[in-house]
Parts: sequence; structure tokens; C-alpha cells
Amino acid sequence: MVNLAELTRDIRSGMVPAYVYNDADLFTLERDHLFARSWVFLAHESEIPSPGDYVVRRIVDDSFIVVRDEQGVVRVLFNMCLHRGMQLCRAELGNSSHFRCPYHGWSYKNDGRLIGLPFHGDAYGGDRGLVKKEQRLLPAPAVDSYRGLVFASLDPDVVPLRDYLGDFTFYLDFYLNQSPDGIELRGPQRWRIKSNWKIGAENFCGDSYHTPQTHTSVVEVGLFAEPKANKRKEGALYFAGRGGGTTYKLPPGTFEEKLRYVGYPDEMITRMRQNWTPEQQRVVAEDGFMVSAATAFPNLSFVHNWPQINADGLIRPFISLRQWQPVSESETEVLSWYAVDANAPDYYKEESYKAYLMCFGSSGMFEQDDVENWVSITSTAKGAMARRLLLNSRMGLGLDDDVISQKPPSFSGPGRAYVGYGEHNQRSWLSLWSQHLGYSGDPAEHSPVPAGDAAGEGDR
Amino acid sequence: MAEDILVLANEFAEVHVSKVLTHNGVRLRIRDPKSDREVLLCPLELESLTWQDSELFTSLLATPHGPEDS
Repeated sequence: MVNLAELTRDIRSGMVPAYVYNDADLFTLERDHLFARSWVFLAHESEIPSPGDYVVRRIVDDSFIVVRDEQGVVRVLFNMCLHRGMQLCRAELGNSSHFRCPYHGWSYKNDGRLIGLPFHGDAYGGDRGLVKKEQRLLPAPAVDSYRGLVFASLDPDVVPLRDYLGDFTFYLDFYLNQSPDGIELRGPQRWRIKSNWKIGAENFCGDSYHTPQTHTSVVEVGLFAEPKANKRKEGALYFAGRGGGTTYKLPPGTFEEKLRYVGYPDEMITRMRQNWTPEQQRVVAEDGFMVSAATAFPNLSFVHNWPQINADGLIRPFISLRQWQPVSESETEVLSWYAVDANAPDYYKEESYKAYLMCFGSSGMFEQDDVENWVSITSTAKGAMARRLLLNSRMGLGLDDDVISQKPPSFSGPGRAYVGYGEHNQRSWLSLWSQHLGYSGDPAEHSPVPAGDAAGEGDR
Repeated sequence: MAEDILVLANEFAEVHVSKVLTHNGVRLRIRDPKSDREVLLCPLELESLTWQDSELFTSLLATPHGPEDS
């Protein structure tokens, strides 16, 4: 069994027990506590734009139909027939006004109401035996959305999504709010990797340190120049509310010049200028940082890079959303979407999509580099020796928990930020993780994270 | 004469839709190849569908195997 008191203490000290990346008991705790209480991303509204459009998504073992009903309301319905428990929608996506169970034919309107069953009179005596009107598919206990991202929670008493995400929304808007109509998604591509789900989530929330090593060949072949070691360490790492991420340092210039450097056409830059708050604009224009990878706790990540997409040196940025969907302690289903400003011109959408495919998705160069590492960590974490090893995740802290990392000269975003390499974000993410495992021991053992790792929500 | 058949399907149903020329006019044929049932709708009937809302079809689907003898 997992000793949660010891685990919590180790995590808080920045020494991570290696077995956490492949342990069946911990996976059960994650499923029953963390994923049962958090907000978990399911779909983006642009994936179900018309009445009847639906996608089927999961929270660990629970399958949900995310559907826009005939009245245009987005609903999240447990994908299980009320009669014998058959999975109702088996296609991954589709359009239908009603769902008819393949087993006995019980039929539901797409708002979840049971509207028909064969031989209601003969079999049930009509409403004498079964009142149809009172029956509906089980809704997700809580549903909320942020800029079109639809989340559900298995906890009916969960805090509102906005409060849960906290100041991380400030950074989410760089990806989601480039124009008044927000983003549209393509995909997802979906595949399984023999890796623990936490590794990807942690990596995206703060690991700028792996880029020059793992992704060397990305720089060598000229796909993306930014990850060069000396350049990568100039970026800032931020953590705010329930998320954190990495940035790149931009060369000197105005807001417009910096966004042109990243590859945005002027018409998109004009809309960002109108849409982003003065503080968000200052992060780019004055502080000089551009968001790259990020993770919203627990398992939704974002990436924004700007590779060279042809031999003429054309630079185009892309945005990808990815979810690390846990299958078991040693397997993860990755869902990878391409995201783009809905108002972007068609030529841009085409070029940016190409940039995404070159870097991420099942064919992407970054993706393949990363997964090789994560699979290897997971398999090495399985054995007896891994239970004797605490992984050193203390980068950025001195031996007395003093902060070695430097704050950026100026930083206009909320939360905590450091420049250079550091593992403050991964420790923050793992602290959140350990707080969600159901540990209810001596509160004194809930020692606070080292001061340098405190997210300091709202503290600028 | 050969019909141009339009196939509409989702995971729950598949129907074949085609225009049928009668001696003096036209109908829309909607055919379910699984049960071999079909309906031929005239333009007036089709027009009447445009003023229905989704609840009409909800009531039609109350018997998922089609009409039941009572």
C-alpha cells in the first residue's frame, strides 16, 4: 500500500519517489480521488457546432456523450443505457437527434430524456410499470466551460471552473482568445503510449530543461531554432492558479514586431491587440515573453511553437491542445488537437496546420522525441529498485530551500515566475497531485511547499 | 428509370433517399434497407414537415421497432 504521509513529505521536499510513475495502488487513488474531484476537459464547443453533433469522451473509466441538443444546449450525459447498461453511443462522433440502444432499443432524445422503448404497454403495462417521463440519461454531476472548453467533474460540489483554474486563465487566453470568436479545433488524433499519464502533464507545465537535449535534432534539421540551449534558458516559467507553463524570450521590438517574428500575419496581430488585456499585451511587448507549453491541472496541456515550415524560411506558429488520458498506471491515451483562431485567414490555417503536423501529433518530431523518454521512465519505474530511489526534482532550490532561480526583470502576469531552468512548476504540479490523493493524516505533515515554489495566486 | 440514391446514416440508422417520378408528378422516397419499409412523401407532406419541431419525431420514435399492434 502507498504510504501517503511519506509520499506527501517526499513530494514537498522535491524528492519524487520513482515508483509514482508506475504503481497500481497509486493509480487507484488517482482514479478514486483526483479524477473524481477535479475538473476534467472533455471537448471544445467547436467540435459540436450544430444541434445533434456529439463526441464520446472519457474521465478515466467513465464514458460521456458530449452533445449539443436540438435546443442548442451542450449536455454531458453518462454513456450508459438505463435498462441493461449498454454503451449507448459507440461511434466516437456523429450527429443524431435521438440515441437508440443497440441491445433492446430503448431510445433517448439527445437532451437525455427516455422517449421510447419497444412494447412499453405489453412489457411494462405502460406507465403502470415504468413512467418514461421520469427517466433520463445520467448527467455528469457538474459541467462548466471556459472560452468554449467544456469540462466535467464527477464531484457535484466542485468549485466553479473559473475559481478552479484561478489566474491560470490569464495565460490560457494567449491560446484561446486571440480574437472575439475564440478558437476552433481539428482532430483529435488519438493514440496510446506505454507511459504514465503524469509524465506528459509535468513535462508540459515546466520542463524547458529537456528541450535542448531531447529535441536536439529539431534544431539541427532547422525545424525550430528556439530550443537552442542558450536561448531556451532565457524563457520564463510561470505558475498561477491550477496551471503553469513555459515561455520563450522574444527579440527586442514592439508588440507587433514580436508577433510578426513568431509568424503571425498583421490582421491577426491587430485582433490580438484589441482582444488581449493591457497586462497580457505587456507580457509580450515589454516583458518580452511568448507562451509555449503549459498544463492545466490535472491532464490538459497546450503548446504554441513557431517552426520553419518550408525551405524558404517561412515561419508559422501553431497551437495544439493535448490530453493525457489515463488508461492504467503504465498506459496513456493521448488526444492531440490542432487549434487555431477561428478568424484566422484560410492560408494561415493551412500553413499553421502544417506547422502542427511537423512538430506534434502522431507524425510530429517533438512528439516522437518525447514519448521515447516517457515510455522508458515508466518501464524503469516498475521494479523493486525504483522503490528505493527518490528522483531529484529540486532544480531552482538551494540546499536550505532558498531560491536559486532569478525572477524576470519585469513580468506582467499573475502568479509566480522565474527565468532560466528550474523545476518549481513540476513541484507545484506534483504538490497539487499529492493533495488530491485523499490523504487525511496529521495536518502538520502537510508541510507547505518551499516558499520559492508557492504559486502565490494573485500575487504579482 | 435509375434513381440517384442519397444514403444518410449515423450509428443508429441508415436510410436511402431518392426522388421518384410518378406519371404526373414527384415524390420523395425514404427507404430503410434493413426492414425494407419505405414511405413516399409528396411536396405538400414535405412542406408540412417544415413546420414541425423535433418533438414530432420524438413521439414517432416512442416505438423504436415501428408501430406496435395493440
